[in-house]
Amino acid sequence: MPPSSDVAAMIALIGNPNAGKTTLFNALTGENQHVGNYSGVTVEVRAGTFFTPHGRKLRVLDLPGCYSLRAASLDEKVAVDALSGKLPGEAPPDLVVCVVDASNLERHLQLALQVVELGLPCVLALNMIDVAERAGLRLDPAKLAAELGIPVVPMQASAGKGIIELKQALRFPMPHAAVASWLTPEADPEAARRGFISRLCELAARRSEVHQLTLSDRADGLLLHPFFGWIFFLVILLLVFWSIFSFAKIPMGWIEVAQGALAEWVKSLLSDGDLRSLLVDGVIGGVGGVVMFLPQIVLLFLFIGLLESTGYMARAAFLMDAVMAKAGLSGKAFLPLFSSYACAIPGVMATRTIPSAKERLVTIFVAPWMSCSARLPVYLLIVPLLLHESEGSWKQALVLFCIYALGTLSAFAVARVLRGRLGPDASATHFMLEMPPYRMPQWRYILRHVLERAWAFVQKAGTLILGLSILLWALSTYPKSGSADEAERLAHSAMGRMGALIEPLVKPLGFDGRTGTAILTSFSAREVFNASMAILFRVRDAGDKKTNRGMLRQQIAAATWPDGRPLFTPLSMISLLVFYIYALQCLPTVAVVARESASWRWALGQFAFMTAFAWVASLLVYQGGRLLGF
Amino acid sequence: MSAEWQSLTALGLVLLTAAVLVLRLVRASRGGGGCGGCGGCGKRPQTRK
Amino acid sequence: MTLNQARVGCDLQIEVLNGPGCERLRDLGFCEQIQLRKLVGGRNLICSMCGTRLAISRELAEQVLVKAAG
Repeated sequence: MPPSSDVAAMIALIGNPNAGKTTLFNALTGENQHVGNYSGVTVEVRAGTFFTPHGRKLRVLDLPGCYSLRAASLDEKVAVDALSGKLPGEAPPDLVVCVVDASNLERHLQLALQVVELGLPCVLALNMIDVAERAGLRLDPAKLAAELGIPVVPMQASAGKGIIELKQALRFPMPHAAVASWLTPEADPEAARRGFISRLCELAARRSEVHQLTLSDRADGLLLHPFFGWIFFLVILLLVFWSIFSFAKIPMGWIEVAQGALAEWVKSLLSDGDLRSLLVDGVIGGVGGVVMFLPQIVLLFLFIGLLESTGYMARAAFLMDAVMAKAGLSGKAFLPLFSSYACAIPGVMATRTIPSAKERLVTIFVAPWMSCSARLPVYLLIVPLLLHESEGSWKQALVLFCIYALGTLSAFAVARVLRGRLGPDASATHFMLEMPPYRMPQWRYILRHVLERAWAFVQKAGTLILGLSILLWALSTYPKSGSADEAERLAHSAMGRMGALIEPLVKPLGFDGRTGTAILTSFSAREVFNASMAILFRVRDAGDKKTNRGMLRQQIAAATWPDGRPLFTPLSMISLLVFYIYALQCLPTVAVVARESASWRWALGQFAFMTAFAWVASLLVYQGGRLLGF
Repeated sequence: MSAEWQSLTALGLVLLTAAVLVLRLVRASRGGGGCGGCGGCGKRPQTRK
Repeated sequence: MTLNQARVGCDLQIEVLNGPGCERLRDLGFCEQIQLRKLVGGRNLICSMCGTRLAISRELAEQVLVKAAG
């Protein structure tokens, strides 16, 4: 992002992960950003602008969190590059704001000292003073400023306190670069820094008690227990899935009613004809089949945000480390993989925090098997058909859980094999993780984030999926055959002919040509599967209000093969689910993988492997099941 | 609306949609990362290598 | 003794860091003379240090030599 001419200066925010840099960035610029209470969430470099009280426009960069300027991982390297002006299109910053956690000065000052040593003008943002005060720390910001030679601004970014004072500290003329008074020509810089910091903390940040057993520790006693910790973890996951099924029922009902009412209204306006069919079957049916799942998507993101915000994610990563080690991955891979449950694209990008290059490649490779939220509309369409609605949300939650578990376990198995083949790293990397204290969820951020995702979902439905639904309708209507029979008309259309071509390929998997076509179209976007199914399986105006409401599930359940056998038996539905778990049906992901792994071969290899794997797995499930007599 | 009008309008909408989608695809492949490059999740990746 | 050998719940002081992971450990805050308490042991350890909870792997803990705090 090139700076505009009215910008007076550029400042960079640097600090340890979880020091509150991004919170401060948001408070300064007002940009919508994602804040996770877990080390290493910010991997991108975000830029924004704000005005000082004196009316000057300053540009600010939010650098990735790092522990030191040694640059052990990719995101730390980005931070170092930014400071030395090596970031493409960016000059070195005019000033650096070092954000430190006031309750953790012994550890956070290291980075600040290193920045001062670089010769850059610096201001210390002493953040989270509320936490420090609660911990009984006696802080003396004036003393700190005097010893360090740079301005020190106490603040609590999450409550907006100290922001004005920080802006004041950035007024012109800007502070000069300080002298690194702790460095001497003879001594080792590391030892000199350590000595200086411990003296400084004695003077200006005394602790009343060395160790206090906090509420967080007590909670961790249970949540990190080798046995109970796992039970709790699984219970949480099951609860999340259960609520997705049960709480969402009511809003989903509303959406379906609205869909039906809209369809009725259009029918009342237009007589039977192509346009009416396009609008009712193509647009309302197609887009409706996707938008219907908005409540569930919202709930999923709400829970993810809640878990991240309270700090539980770090504990989950800790627990998962042992399991992931068996897959040849470390706990560092947990967050990228977990993000992939929402969408693989940010997940793949989050792998920049993984120091080991080989582990990073493997993580990128298996990330698409963490069933992303785009698959949810497909799962949620099929799963209730497997079990009768009256069987209760618990069973459906369990099935959904098994689907996610299958994808995850397969990913680990492949990761292990791949890791073995890639060989060990040149330098060993080890697991280390900061566990922030549990916090009350930051509702403002969570809700903002959920709304962002929900809006993105609706946008995609209103644009891409709308467009594709219209095209799909066209493909299933033209060329016209002039016959009165629905099935004949479909068979004559372009989509029908495509279906006939595809059918031999998908019949062994338990699908007919129409399903096969729907699968093919969903390679453009997985949610399109629902839209395609709605169009391909539509029941013509039966005059019956219930059927006309367009309940997709009922239409599918009623579908048959030409000979009258039901098309969607439990076995074929499981086969379909298995296909969707494994198939990589997201071309943007392939593009991002190619970029992040710096290899189109890796990306295309991943695509080919996953598509083939999906086909074979589906085949094994269906044919194996038939053999066993299902 | 009579049946012919409906058919014409429907066809027109279809062709318009096809044109828009093709344009988006062409622009996207030139820009790198299809469909806005965010995978529908709302997050835009900012890459600085 | 190494951090692995120390008993859980003990107050400890770091004496020496010895091994290839030292630099990363120092970055994280594990320095000589720092006091800490071992909270959880096993495959991954959790220590409380300067008010923060830090988790490190067994291999890393092996490189940290500690003594009981006075």
